[in-house]
Amino acid sequence: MVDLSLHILDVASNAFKANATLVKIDIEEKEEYIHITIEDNGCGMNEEELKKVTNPFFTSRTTRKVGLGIPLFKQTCEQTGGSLTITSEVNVGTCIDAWMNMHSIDAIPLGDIGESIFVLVTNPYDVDVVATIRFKEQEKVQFKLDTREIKIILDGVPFSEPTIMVWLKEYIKSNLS
Amino acid sequence: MKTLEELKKIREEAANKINLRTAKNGYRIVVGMATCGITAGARPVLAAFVDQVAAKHLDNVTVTQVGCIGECAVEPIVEVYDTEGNRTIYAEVHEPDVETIINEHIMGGKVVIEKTIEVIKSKKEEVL
Ligand SMILES: Nc1ncnc2c1ncn2[C@@H]1O[C@H](COP(=O)(O)OP(=O)(O)OP(=O)(O)O)[C@@H](O)[C@H]1O
Ligand SMILES: [Mg+2]
Repeated sequence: MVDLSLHILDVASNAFKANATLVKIDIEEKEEYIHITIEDNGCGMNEEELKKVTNPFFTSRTTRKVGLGIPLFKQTCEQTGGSLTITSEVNVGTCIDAWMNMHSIDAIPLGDIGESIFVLVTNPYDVDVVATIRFKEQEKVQFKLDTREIKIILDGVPFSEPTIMVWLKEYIKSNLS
Repeated sequence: MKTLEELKKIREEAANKINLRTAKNGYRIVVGMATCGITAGARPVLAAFVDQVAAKHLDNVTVTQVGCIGECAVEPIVEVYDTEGNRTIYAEVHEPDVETIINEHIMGGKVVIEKTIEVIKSKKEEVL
């Protein structure tokens, strides 16, 4: 993957398959590091699955023999001297905790995080998304979006309505710059 | 900066449109968004479809995402379903292809043959 935002989109999407109803993404950006947590309340993994999940040859998918999302993200973090750890409990949920050292020459940029948040927020599985970003620039307001608040305003109008979709996209973009 | 306050207004307009809509369902555009798709560039493709659909006021067209379609070698994959549920699968769809698919297929009703998965795959086989 060329940037962190793509890893975040990919790994957070695992929550959709895990039958979660909520996925929380938190990004803390500092001069020296980026700390990302992705937490869901889906089916979770047992100890054995958890041990195997960072191995690319473990997957519960049926369309391809290897699962790549988590091993790739872990590799990205570790090549900078950072880390990726997973905690998970069956029927409770899963939490990915990732650190990337931004001073490493192997660090990759955050990328277009707005577009990833947009894609996650408009997921067709009706999974709620909470995203928070604390930027390294002191003057920049922190970003916070909670689809549960948006759903209250939309009052039954689906996210998939073209005008709503494009508004959300612009809303996310404008609140990130 | 856009605020949620504004969304209330947009919501009213969208709700009215839904009520006025007569045609049951228009086209449905589905972008494959698993690891393989994301790596190949599916995210900006989905964003471009959303922009095009809104810019051209294609109110009865929905754009959505799906997990792995199982065609990792020719991602990004885009499926187009028409009103009768007929499916066209496009492969190796990148940003410049989005407008072509919108203009020719969604607005013109004509499948973009050269971007269909069948054609893309057979071209690959010729090379091999
Ligand atoms: N949040 C989660 N909740 C429950 N199970 C998970 C979660 N994340 C990953 N898993 C399990 O770990 C496996 C591997 O995940 P990973 O993202 O690495 O690959 P994948 O999703 O199977 O395929 P892809 O390469 O498309 O990402 C999944 O198939 C699933 O069984
Ligand atoms: Mg995955």
